[in-house]
Amino acid sequence: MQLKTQNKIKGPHIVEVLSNIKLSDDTWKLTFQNQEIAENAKPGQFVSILCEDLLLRRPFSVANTINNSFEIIYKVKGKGTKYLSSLRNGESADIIGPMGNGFTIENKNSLLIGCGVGIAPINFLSNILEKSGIKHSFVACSQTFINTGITENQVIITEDGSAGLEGRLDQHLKKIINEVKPEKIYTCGPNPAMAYVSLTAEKYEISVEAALERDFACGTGVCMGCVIQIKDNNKTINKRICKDGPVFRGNEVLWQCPI
Amino acid sequence: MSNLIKPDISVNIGRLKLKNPILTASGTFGYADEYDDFMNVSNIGAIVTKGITLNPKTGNPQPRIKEVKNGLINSIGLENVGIQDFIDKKLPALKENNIDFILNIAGASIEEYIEIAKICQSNNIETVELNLSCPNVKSGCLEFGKDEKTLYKLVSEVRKNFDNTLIVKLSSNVSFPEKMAKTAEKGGADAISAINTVKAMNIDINKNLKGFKSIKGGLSGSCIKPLALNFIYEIRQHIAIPIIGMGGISCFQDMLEFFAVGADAVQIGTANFTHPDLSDTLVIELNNFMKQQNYGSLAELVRDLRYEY
Repeated sequence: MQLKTQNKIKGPHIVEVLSNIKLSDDTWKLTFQNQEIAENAKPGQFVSILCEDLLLRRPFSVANTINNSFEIIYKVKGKGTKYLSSLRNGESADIIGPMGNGFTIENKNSLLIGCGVGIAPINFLSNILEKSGIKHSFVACSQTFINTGITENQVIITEDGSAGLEGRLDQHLKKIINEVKPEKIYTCGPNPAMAYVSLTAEKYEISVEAALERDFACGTGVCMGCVIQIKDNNKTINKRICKDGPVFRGNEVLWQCPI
Repeated sequence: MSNLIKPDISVNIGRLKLKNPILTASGTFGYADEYDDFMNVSNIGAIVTKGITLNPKTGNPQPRIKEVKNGLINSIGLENVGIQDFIDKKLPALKENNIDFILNIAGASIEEYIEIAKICQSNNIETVELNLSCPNVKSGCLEFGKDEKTLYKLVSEVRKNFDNTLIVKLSSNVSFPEKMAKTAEKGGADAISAINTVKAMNIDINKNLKGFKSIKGGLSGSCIKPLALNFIYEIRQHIAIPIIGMGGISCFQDMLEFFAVGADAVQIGTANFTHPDLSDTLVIELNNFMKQQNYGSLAELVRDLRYEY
């Protein structure tokens, strides 16, 4: 019959919660069962989750995939993330994705820098690079320790000194770059941190890919709500973070403009 | 009626024959390609394109969106590719994929609207929706939809230059909705669509009582549904042309409410963001409902739903 719905590649998927665990005081990891998302998601891509009592879906980077399941890491901040923290094993959520464009994976000595919940896509990327045998180092920065379970190749920086090096990224980054001598840097985190990474890397002539974030209305590329200005030769053009990104080259983002 | 016979859910808007009454609202569906991952877009009655202007527009600075309780304020400022780029790049894909569409057009002056209308005419665009009500651009749009004299001049001038189906999208930010609807009809509109987003503002007061984040723009979502229903109810008895109703439709029941107050077709807007497959689902639900209730045609259903004045 003609009316049969087709083409539902990206959902909405009704997915089952496999686990929901605390990684720190306010940061959690949710694992969902869904083969399609787990098979198709690439590091840097996101899923949009329908949250109770909210009109718009909320986007979350995929933090890992294992067999038929995928993970997200989230910090409980508002209504949406509070709802997520209430989800229990066996309950379900309405999710679309994977959305957007992920990181470009290259066989280059890579430095991965995740700050706060920006650790999520970086964690996923680290796992993929590991599987591909690509040399890489992982710097995880946060206010307080977020236990993602990874230890190999990982440098931990915490502002409160609860684990690893004490302090902020800017106190340690140059030393790390000098030691690792990366050919490529991947980053995700608050904009000031990504701006710092990007501008520092520029001085060392290292290319950067950064996964950006902003409030989305649609998350599919139609509403033009999330656009940022991107350098394009001598002019700037608007790009949608959700559809054209969320991963952009560090040197094409106008970091001085508030994102 | 037998359950095997497919109910007739087609509806005519001017010369436009819609296979069903479910459309997607301008600015919430792009140019359809983004929704390929969620549905077969050709199943829905028609998509209304993002508002197109004569020249490309880069839109407003950030912040552009803010979720409020049961609603969304947007201040996009009509960022779009411009009419020529639409014709060159977007139109072929719509045709190729057999997607019925309505071109939403906006101008900064009457002359600009006329110029776009002429381009639409020469490119055989079948249906145009005049955006006279975007609250987010400094010149034009909303201003044209506010006073009867300007509205009449604009609609009649566009009419002279465009032979195909002409829909006029009205704003609810007016004192006398029925006067604006009658004026649009008199000017030559084949149908009215309403309502556009409602002028609104949000302000976030922070703890230190300084540097408030604010946004002014157009409000959409389920919080505006009662306004939209009333607007359509008020204009229905004053005009003979069809009405395409919209404003906060997010489920089948909402759609029936719009038919009840006088709409002949509906547009799904902000709910596309939350449920990207909603319009397709509504088509299926409408078919199933009509079969269950033994309705042979949409006209019969609408007749039964119509709330008496």
